[in-house]
Amino acid sequence: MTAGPDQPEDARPDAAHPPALDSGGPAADDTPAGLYTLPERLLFAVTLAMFTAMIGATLAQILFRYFLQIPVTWTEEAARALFVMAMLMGMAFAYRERQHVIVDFLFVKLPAPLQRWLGVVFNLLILVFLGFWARGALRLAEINWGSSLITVPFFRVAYFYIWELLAIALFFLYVLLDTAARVAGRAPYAEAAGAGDSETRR
Amino acid sequence: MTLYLLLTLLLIGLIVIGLPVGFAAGLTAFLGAGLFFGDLLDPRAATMIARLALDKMDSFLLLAVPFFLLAGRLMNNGGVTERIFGFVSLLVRPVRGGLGHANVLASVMFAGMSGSATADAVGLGQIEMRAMLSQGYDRRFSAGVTAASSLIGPILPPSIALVAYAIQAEVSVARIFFAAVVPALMLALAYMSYVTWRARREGMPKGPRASLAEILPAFRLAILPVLTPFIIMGGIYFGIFTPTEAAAVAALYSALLGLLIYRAYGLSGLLQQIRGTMIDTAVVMLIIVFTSAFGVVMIRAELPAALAGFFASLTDSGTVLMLLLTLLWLIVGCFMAQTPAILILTPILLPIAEQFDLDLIHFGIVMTLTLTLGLLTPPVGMVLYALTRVTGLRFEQLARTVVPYLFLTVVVILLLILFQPLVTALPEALL
Repeated sequence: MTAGPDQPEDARPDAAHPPALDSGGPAADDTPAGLYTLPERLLFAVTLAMFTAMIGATLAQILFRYFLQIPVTWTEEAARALFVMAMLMGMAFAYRERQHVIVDFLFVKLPAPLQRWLGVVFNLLILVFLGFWARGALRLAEINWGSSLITVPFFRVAYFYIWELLAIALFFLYVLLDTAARVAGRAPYAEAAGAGDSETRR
Repeated sequence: MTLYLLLTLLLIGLIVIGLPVGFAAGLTAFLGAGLFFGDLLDPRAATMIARLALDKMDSFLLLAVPFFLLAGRLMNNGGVTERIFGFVSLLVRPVRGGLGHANVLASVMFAGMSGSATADAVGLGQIEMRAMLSQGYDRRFSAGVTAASSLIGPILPPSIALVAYAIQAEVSVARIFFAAVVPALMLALAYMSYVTWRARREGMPKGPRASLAEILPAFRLAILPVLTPFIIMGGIYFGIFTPTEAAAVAALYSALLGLLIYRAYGLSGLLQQIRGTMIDTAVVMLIIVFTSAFGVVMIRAELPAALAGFFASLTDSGTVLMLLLTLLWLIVGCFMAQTPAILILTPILLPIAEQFDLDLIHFGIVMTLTLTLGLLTPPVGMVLYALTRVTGLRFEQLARTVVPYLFLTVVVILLLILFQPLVTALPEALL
């Protein structure tokens, strides 16, 4: 297993899929320019803004509580909400960048054609998983449409599930594109776009 | 019950043949929930897993993960490694085999900031190897101590593996952080004892004692990053910060050091590190949420209770149980990365530990340390893979160089199992 920082800490940034964390996790380093299309870049920017805002909200909590002695209730909930939303989309982008953790000591010993078709089978399994996940998220969005966050009343809980569905849809798209590339005998999707670490790509 | 056991084996099998860990856990969690409701297509199964996934992520404690990752990244990229190694090398220069000791000590200091074995092996390892080879140290000896000392990273706080265990086992992060200090120092001491023995036997080099005029400038360069673990542990100990807030402060401190003091990167560099951290964290979260969901399904299906019954039929001794589980962890560690293994095994094994009335902090430390050994053992041995380029040795050569250290680590693990206060005394005394 190999990794991509600490992570990271333990495996390798996937190529059919990707790195290992030992505890720190994988090393998702700079993505080569041109990997993402414009709409993807916009969505990525929104996701990164959420993640950065989560950092800001947590630091604001410390500032308010310990230094300004002003009790605030919204910072923790905002940080958690931003984190969840950034992570959902981040998981799809991590697939795009082939960063998900794999154990590949057996896989890399297989002949190339078998690797290719096993990669297709893996993708089909991932699509099944995403199908289950989307079904659950859709049902939860329906069930929770009337509920709101306690400290941010205008924010419906169902928005999380809608965002989750959007992330799953992006995930689905990436896996489909990757599967099509593999079946056609082309380089895996993200690889074709130049992503990932050439030492660890499959 | 057999079906759930088979499902667990399916999860392990899918991971071993190369399906990414998070997807394998997610797929088997959905299948398990389907089994639980008696129909794979039962909408309640999908709803249950989707809800568990989101609920698990919606935790303030979990925010410690990205902050520790970010702090480690910023330290790695802030020129900290050279400063630390330069400082400790001066301190141990007059000792025979001094750079071997410096290698271990630098890893201890680095572990207090990063907590990643691979980051230690690749970042610090390059500097250590270069310095040791240029001083005439044997390549295999240098590679062995570099690889082994990196194991201290995932044990000494802050450690993502320990945070992962604390989240799954619902134990205090502060307690498990303090509990890890003595075991990590025992590891360091064991490795340094071996270095001392080899250094004497092989007549390794030693240098002149460093003067105060040499030590003080090196100290000034190294002291600021070295303060990071004290900020984290001190903040938690004095009740100033929660673990998540301590991690956030550590990340802020690391960013300020890199931006303003060392000028290692600018704002765009900082944003690049935040971006990388986001992707790293997403990778970890996919595994955390779906291994947790898998664990919940297994608990509802009462698989852990059945396993506890099986172990109870073998022994009624908690120590024997720990020894049996240690054997299991050693095997699992050979095939699976530490953090995913902790995330998968903890929900399944925790009820067994509770039935045997084991201390969950002690249990977590022994499990984490044992699984860490897999970083140095074939076939996975991630640190070994990472070090092949750094050391110029082949994987098999590297695997041989770490055998004495593996043996010493197993001795430390046995001591920790047999003498629980080595783990629990410090948190009990301080918290």
